[in-house]
Amino acid sequence: MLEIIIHGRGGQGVVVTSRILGTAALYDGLYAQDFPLYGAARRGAPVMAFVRIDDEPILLRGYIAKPDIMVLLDESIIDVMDVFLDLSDDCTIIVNTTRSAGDFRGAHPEIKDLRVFCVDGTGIALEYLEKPIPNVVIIGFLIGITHIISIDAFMKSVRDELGKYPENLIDKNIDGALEACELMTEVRGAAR
Amino acid sequence: MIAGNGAAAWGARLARVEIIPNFPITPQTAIIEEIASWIASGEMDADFLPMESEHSVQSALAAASSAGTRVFSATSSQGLLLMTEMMFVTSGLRLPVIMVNVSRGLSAPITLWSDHNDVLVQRDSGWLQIFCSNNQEVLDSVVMGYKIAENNDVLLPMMINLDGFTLSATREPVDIPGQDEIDGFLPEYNPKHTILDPKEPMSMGGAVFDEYMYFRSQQRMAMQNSKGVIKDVCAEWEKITGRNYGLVESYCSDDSARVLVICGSESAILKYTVDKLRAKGEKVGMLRLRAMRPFPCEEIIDALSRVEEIGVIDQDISPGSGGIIATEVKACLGRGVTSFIAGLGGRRIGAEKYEKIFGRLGRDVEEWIF
Repeated sequence: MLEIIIHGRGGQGVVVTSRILGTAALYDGLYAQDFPLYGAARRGAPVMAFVRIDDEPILLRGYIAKPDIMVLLDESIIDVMDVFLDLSDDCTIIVNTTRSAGDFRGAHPEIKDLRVFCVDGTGIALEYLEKPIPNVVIIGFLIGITHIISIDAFMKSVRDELGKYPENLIDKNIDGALEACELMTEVRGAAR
Repeated sequence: MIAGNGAAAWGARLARVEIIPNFPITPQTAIIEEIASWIASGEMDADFLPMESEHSVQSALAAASSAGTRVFSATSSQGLLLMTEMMFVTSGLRLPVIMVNVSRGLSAPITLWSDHNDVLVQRDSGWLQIFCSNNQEVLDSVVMGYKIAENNDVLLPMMINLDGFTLSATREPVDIPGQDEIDGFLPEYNPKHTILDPKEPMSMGGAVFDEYMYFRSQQRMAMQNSKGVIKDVCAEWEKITGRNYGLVESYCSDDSARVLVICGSESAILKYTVDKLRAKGEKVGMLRLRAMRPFPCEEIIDALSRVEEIGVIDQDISPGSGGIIATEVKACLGRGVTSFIAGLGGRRIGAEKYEKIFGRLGRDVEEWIF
């Protein structure tokens, strides 16, 4: 089973990120579970969402303590929560930041030898959508690194989950995500 | 991919409910929001009645059901408690109301997370109570609920409980049966006894003297009848959907030396733990109580009579007495159990703690798992 945790702030699309991944996994013929964790949430407050993906029915529920993948849609979450505490040694961290992976690692020695991949998702989102909402772009980046879901399933899922938005906005999100997915080949070399 | 709240809304839609009195409360609100959006888009033909409080919601449920319509609502925690006075009226009038409760801990202090004290406060209210373990079961239980509650040998309201967040906001694959299939299973509601009609005026629930005890004994009999009706309806549902439910779910408990009794969505994590420990050769099992009312005493005795060590997980507490379910299981079995108080206010238990709990059975004590 693959377990993913997504950290971000209310309004950045944390919950939608988990839903896109869950629905895409279902399109790929896998079992999935996605859910948010928040209090009385408001825009800007820390929000977490979780995804479990498996090739058999999923029995585990609730909080994921040791994820296989951690996505940080907002780097500033690190200042308010100890997100790296107790992570397992094979956790992959994906960060939305303007820093390089090397700089990020230097600023956060507590992540030790964990794999870190950085991308300026907000920059790409601003370029494509003219809005600082990086979530779909970051999923593209995540697919480029992990291949946990197929591009086809991802695109179908984005259309389902963003269905209430105008078609051209969905297209721009997908274009941004595909660019981030291809960026991956560059970044992978600098990760370690 | 449907969350528990969406599954509850789908159950109501497929059952063709006609009137939905409602009042919002986290984590239930998404249920009535979904229904409101279907009514607005014309996908569902029903009356949506926003009320001024949960007390009024329960009054409106009783009134609309008395007028011969199929009704639905959903609530949670403090909202369920505010309904308390009218809950007894609905069951006393023998109205087949179906209501979903999304369980959430009671104030104070405030919590938004799952906890069973809200439902269990209502265990003496004369309502049937069903606890769901996953989102599919939520949808299935709502549809089956009408067929059970509207049976002339039952005519009692039913509360269907799903755990806040761990089911209500968690999406997972859910099979939505076709409307034709459901229409074949659940006929239109056609009440025989209580129909308020201006052309034939009738008073309901009026003052009585010695007869009061007769009415209570009738309610008790209806509750006893419901056991057989639940089993029959579940068997019919299995023929249509292949999904099997009953009063309890016994998982590997037949040949087990140690069994934990549990209810609600935590049972899935416990199953995971049972699988893991059995793979190591440990004879452990689980008994999930799906029905809390009627209390499935015969089924519990059947499942546990040969088990050496029994533990009960309570996500609730009756201060001054103990775990509510443990108390009932002990009374039913006539023997001691180890009572674990865990997961209050949604506090994480997790598979690793269930493993430890299995190692702590065999003592007639209460233990709090923090």
